[in-house]
Amino acid sequence: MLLRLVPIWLLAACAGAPAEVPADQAPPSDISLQGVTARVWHGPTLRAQATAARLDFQRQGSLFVATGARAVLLERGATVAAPRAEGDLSAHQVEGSGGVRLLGRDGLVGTTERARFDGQAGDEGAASSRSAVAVEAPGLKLSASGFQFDVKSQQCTFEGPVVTSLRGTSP
Amino acid sequence: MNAWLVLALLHASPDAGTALLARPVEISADKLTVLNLQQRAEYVGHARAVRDSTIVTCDALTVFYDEKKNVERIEANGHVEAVDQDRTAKGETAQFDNRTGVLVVHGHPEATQGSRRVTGSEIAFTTGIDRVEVKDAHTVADSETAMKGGLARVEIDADRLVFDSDRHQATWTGHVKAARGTTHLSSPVLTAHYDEQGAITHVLATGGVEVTDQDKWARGQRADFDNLKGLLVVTGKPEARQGTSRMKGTRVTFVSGSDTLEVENATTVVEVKPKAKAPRP
Repeated sequence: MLLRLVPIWLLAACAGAPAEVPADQAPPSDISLQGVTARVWHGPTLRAQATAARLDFQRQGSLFVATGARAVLLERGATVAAPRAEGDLSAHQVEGSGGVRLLGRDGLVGTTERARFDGQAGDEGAASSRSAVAVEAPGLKLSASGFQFDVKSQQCTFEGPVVTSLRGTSP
Repeated sequence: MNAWLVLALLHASPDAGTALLARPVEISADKLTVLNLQQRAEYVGHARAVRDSTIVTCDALTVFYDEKKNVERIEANGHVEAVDQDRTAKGETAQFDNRTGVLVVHGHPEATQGSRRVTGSEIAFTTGIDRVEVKDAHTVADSETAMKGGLARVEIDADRLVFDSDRHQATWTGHVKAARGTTHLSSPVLTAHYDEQGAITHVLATGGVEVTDQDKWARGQRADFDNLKGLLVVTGKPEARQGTSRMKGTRVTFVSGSDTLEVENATTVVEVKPKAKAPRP
């Protein structure tokens, strides 16, 4: 969810008069922000907070690149972090790379080299990865070669070979 | 079948599983779909669960859990097979109730251990106490016999079989029919005792027993069969018949595969058929 909200916030933050650029040239990054923090509210409720060490954004287009990106999903109690995130604001798409890491409740940790969020997929967006996925939680380990997650249905499919292992915790 | 208990714990919360998860469990499959809203997880394609020496395989495995991620039940579908050393269980479908610890296998279920094999319309395993219950049971057991120095096969059919591993005991009830070589026995209840290796040593039939062995027949309230010696003893107002002789006594003993029939305190009635009169010329 926040992966979709962050580009929206970035779009709002960087809105301004469009620059005149040749149509046949891909515009270089013309806005670079350091130490970015965004907060997403739903009425009086703070729903999410996103930070990035650096954000490069094209004023004319909708492409962006963030480094040291991190999003805290307060309602879900989860955090998503990636060394690099790039996407397209207008398409509501973002892809994290360099080791995407999910920290969930109860000590759950999910990692994958690269993961993508498509806000136009499904009713409320979908996340996916074709890279190896590893999930660890107290007493539980899971590995797979990729995953697909639909936000609305809360359905997550891990592609195989899928291996889950469960180990007891000390009383 | 402790293996099913293992499966049940896969998605259990750490708190719920603390006492039971001392050893690791590994489950693999081609694909895993977790449906959070429906509170279930589906392993599809070459599903395989391993704990210690126990391996369970099937086409698909679905885990149903509650809001706290505690497992409620597990369903295995398609070519379900559990193997633990010399013990196996097979069937087309299996349902495990994590609250009761009972696993029920349907679809031509079959369980084996060593030389014993049982089939039926439904096989239920209770985890923790190693109790097996079979409906419409057909049991086959090969065991060594001292009489001939070879193997003797015992086959038993009944409406119901309960196998209690801890007590080394199996009990068949309802229309029990047992056969060993030429010896056939029927009774309402039959209880077999096993040794540590799983071989039948002793069988007790009660509630009205009828035994036949070639031209021998006996009936009584109770029959005690020593499978190692091949001796079957009928007591409880026993009656016996061999050929044209009818006997009553206090104890009737068959020796399986031989012509010997012993009756203690016997009262014998020998039927003599009257000779047919030759027609007068």
